[in-house]
Amino acid sequence: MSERAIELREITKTYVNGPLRVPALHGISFVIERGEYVAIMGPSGSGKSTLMNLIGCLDSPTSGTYVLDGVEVSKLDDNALAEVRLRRMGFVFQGFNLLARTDALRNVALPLFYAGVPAKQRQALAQRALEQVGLGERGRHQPSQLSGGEQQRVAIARALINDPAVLLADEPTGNLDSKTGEEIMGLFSKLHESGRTIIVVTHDEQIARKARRVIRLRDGLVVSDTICDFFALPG
Amino acid sequence: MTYLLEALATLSANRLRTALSLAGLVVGVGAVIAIQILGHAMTGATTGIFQGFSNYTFLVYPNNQNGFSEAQAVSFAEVDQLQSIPNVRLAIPYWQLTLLSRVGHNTAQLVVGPTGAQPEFFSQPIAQGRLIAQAEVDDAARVCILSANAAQQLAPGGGSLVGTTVRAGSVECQVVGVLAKPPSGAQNYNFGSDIYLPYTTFERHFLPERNSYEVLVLIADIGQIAATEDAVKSALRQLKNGKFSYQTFDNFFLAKLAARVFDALTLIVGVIAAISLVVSGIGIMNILLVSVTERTREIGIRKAIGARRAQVMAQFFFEAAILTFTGCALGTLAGIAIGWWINTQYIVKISGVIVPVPWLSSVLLASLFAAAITLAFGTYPAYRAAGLDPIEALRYE
Repeated sequence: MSERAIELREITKTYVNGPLRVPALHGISFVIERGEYVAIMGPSGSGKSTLMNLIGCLDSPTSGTYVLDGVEVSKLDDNALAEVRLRRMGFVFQGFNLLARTDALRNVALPLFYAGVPAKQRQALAQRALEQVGLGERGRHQPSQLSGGEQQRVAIARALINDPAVLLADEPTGNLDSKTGEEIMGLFSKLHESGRTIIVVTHDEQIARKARRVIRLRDGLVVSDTICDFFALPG
Repeated sequence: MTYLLEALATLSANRLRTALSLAGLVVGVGAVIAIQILGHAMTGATTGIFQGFSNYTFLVYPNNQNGFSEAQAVSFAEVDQLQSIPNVRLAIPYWQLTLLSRVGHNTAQLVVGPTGAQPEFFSQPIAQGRLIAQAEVDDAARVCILSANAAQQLAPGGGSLVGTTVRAGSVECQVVGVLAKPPSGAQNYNFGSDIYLPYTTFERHFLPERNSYEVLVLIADIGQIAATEDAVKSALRQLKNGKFSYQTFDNFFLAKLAARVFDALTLIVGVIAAISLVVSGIGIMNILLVSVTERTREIGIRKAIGARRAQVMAQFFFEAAILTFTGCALGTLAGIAIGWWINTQYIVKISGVIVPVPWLSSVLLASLFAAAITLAFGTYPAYRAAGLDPIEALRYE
């Protein structure tokens, strides 16, 4: 297995809307090693969301090569991409995106259901995942009965349940107050220390500062890629 | 199996949505099943409605459409010529008179008519006493058989009339037997008589002209009744040199007519009910489609975390299947209950016959509908759900 979690080579993405061709990415190349904690930053319109969708295997690039966890995914079809998302990618969203009227345990177990894990085993694995994010007691609560921070932790437990190669978070603290946001970022740091590969897409400098490396985009190109261990000041 | 459980969990998590989509189907299927059972019951019940006339007899009478003539009357000699027609056991001149009748101090207006010695002349068995003996027919004996109705009117206090003397108009005769009561409800359609005399006795006292406008024919094989009727009609027409035509009446004529009417009614009402089923099917599709839109975000989440197209489709399809099969099962139970209740409470009062509930065909019908509705109206929403783009779906508010 490759030591590289993610390798992007000359990735371009052009949206075709009738006769209109809207280029979003002009040729992005970078490598993210296993265990890295990376922030991807950029103003709106920079191609940040497009890049996130491509990294998250929700979309395919127009050209270029994307190797995720040793698998060339840039040419895969819908079903194969779904399989990659299921096994190798954990998503954490700004809006938590838990299933309503479905308790935390079932939410966390959902990827296992699609992976074909038997019901009993799903339950046990989901319970363990909830314990890891400090919500072992709240498995039977529905999302509406949980606070924002708790919901995000359930979402993180769900993202990790299939032991993915990469944890991809999109503005994970965007819907949280600053104190709860701190807690969630603390959880990310802990996960990073335990060896997880984490990519956070954000426009918040404070959040980006928690990461060890920041990739900045502008107009569909990488404008800077810095290891900023040095600047990781508290607060 | 796991999909079934997952779909069940989703449906039970959204009870209002589930109940609403079920309601239409329960009503639709319930109506179809109830109508099917009622139609079945009414058609079956017609055999019980016309019990006053024996299945082994038919009546021949002149077709008066082209005017009435005394020459249309059939003479006794002509009646005798009908005896040789195949399947005819006995042909007798037939007439019914309503006469003031009396036993002791009890009087009643009763219908007096002729009969033979054969038990097949009657639609009801003998309850008390015996049938008229062939010897009594041959001797034109003054004996008679009473209907249950006649016995009830002439002996209101109860008590057996067998052996007593009845005066029917000017004729006195001895009661030898009383018929059983027909099943309740059949009285309104009684074509039989109240006082049955041997046809020889009847002829002597009431048909002095030695002819009659009607002929009652007793046959051997019910299956051949139509052919026998045709043979008798053409024989009579020949005897009258083709000048007059005759028509026949039998129990099957009315029963068949009524059954045909009920069949047609059942069909028409059934079609209306089937349309209501289609409407409820479209209702289910509508709710499923709305729920695809309402659940766009949910589908987006499911796809983002790795659900394949087929898995999303299967989920929606199973939800549709559970909805329709539950709805059809509940509807079948409701329909059978309603059909059975109306059958035993009301139809039985008309016909006196309880027709068994057609369980198998009801359940088959409902399952068929369920399968068809699932396929017809569950597939498209499932397809729509499976085809959603996860990026778009996640952005959906």
